[in-house]
Amino acid sequence: MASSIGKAFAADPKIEKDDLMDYMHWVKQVLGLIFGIIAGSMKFTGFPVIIIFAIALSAVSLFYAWKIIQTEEIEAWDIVSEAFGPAFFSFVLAWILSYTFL
Amino acid sequence: MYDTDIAWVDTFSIILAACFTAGLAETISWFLIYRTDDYKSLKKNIESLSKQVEKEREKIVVASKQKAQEKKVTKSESMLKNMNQQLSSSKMKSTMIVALFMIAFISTLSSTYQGVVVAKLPFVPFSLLQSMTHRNLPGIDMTDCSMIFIYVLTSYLVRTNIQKYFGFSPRTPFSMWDQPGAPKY
Repeated sequence: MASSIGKAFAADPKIEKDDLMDYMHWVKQVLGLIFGIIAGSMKFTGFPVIIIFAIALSAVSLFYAWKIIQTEEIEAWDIVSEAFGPAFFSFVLAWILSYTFL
Repeated sequence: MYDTDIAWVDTFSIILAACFTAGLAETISWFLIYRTDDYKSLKKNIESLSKQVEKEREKIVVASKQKAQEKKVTKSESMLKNMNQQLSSSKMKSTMIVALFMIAFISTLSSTYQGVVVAKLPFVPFSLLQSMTHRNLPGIDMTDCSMIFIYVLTSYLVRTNIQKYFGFSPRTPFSMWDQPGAPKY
């Protein structure tokens, strides 16, 4: 477990696309949770928050793929669109729960 | 804290129930489908074919061979489409059983939580979504959230993650925005 987390944050320019997409799946959901908790505990409301989340998530994903993993061959659109659904759902759930209870 | 009427016990019971049913649904699917050899081989074929299609799409060919290349890609894509259809039809039996079980469970749960607000939404959902977020709730405050919305969100997340973690669904390079078989530019 610890070694796979270590691998997910180590530079590997020759990474296979499948492996990067697997990391993306987990990293994006954790980002969704973190953004959701921040937005909820700071009592942010309204649809603009969702748009800001989408932009922030895409930016952080690209930063993760290009600067941390340092991949060059995988298209930006694939990086942005991969696992967007689960990340969005985890954001909404965390946002609602922390807005209600924190 | 927004509303003292919202009890966290209710909300977390819903989340626990969603985790439990999602886990059970995936166990049923594993028992009926995922562990069978037919499913495993079909999944493997889809993965290798979709990789092949992606490689063919990226291949750069001379202008004279472009038509032949396009034909090749279209043929592989239609094969992939067929295999995906086969995959969904092989899942049919388990999908039906899981759906019946879910309908029974959700109707019991929603009659238990009739009229209970389990969370406060930080946004006003658009009208189509309101039928889910405001289901069985009194009043016109659309930021009141019913159990079904929290249930659906949690259940989707748990099922997707179980499928991903155990590798039940095929890994294809198609993203959620692509229609399998549609040309990619």
